[in-house]
Amino acid sequence: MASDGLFITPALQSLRLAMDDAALRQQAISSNIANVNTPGYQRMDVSSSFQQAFSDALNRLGEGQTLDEMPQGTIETAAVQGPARPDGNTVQLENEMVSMANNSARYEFAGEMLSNNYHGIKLAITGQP
Amino acid sequence: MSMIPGIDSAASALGVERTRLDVIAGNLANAQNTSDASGQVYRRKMVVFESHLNNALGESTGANAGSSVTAKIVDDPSPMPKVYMPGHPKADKNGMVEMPNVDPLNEMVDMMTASRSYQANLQAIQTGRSMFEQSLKIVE
Repeated sequence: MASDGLFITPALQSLRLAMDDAALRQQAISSNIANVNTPGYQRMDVSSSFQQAFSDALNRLGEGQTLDEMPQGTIETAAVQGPARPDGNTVQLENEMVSMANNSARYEFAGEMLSNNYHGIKLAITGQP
Repeated sequence: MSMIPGIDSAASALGVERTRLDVIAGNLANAQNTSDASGQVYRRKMVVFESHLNNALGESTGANAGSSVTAKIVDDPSPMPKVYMPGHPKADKNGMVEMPNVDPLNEMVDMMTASRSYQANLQAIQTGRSMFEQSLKIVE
């Protein structure tokens, strides 16, 4: 089915999903930056099960289907760790800052698109910009 | 999960980095102190970082919300250097005085690391905040 009504469309759902993902990832990045000086800390990331569910869901939405249930994610210690420093910490501050910039841009993009989408719906309902 | 993503971790780290700056300032101030409050030669303090899962600290959601960090202040066990100062009231019979094991060079490097980490955490909070503001704009 292409659409289940006004507010359950592939576009709205995929934007919501993208924002959920970015908010979750921001938590992981923030946690990594906070622990950049903690000996033995292993960097965290969005759980791999969520990453899988996320890309599966986006594929389905891309084919025009809608989701009955949004995938729920959590944060866990990243499965793939980069080289550790002598104190056992695997966080590289530069990488975290870059992914944070990337991530917030993605979030803002999705937010802006979502806002536009709702604006269009409002326009159709009221007939006024 | 708070409304601003990642603020719990970043805020805890701000506190810890500030503690670290306090400890460094204390070490520098006492770099030549041969008699602390208990009459002993000042021993350098160190901050040890420990991470804690946010949900273990009583977060409302069952989902993991990253790690917070806490500080523990411990004494640096490294040996105290001795300098030759025969006139010093604390000099032993060879004229040697035990001095604090504070190396100002180390402290300055630590201070740089601490202040840069503080900045990085502040940046994380700012980013989280702008994300939150963006989500408010959806309903405008």
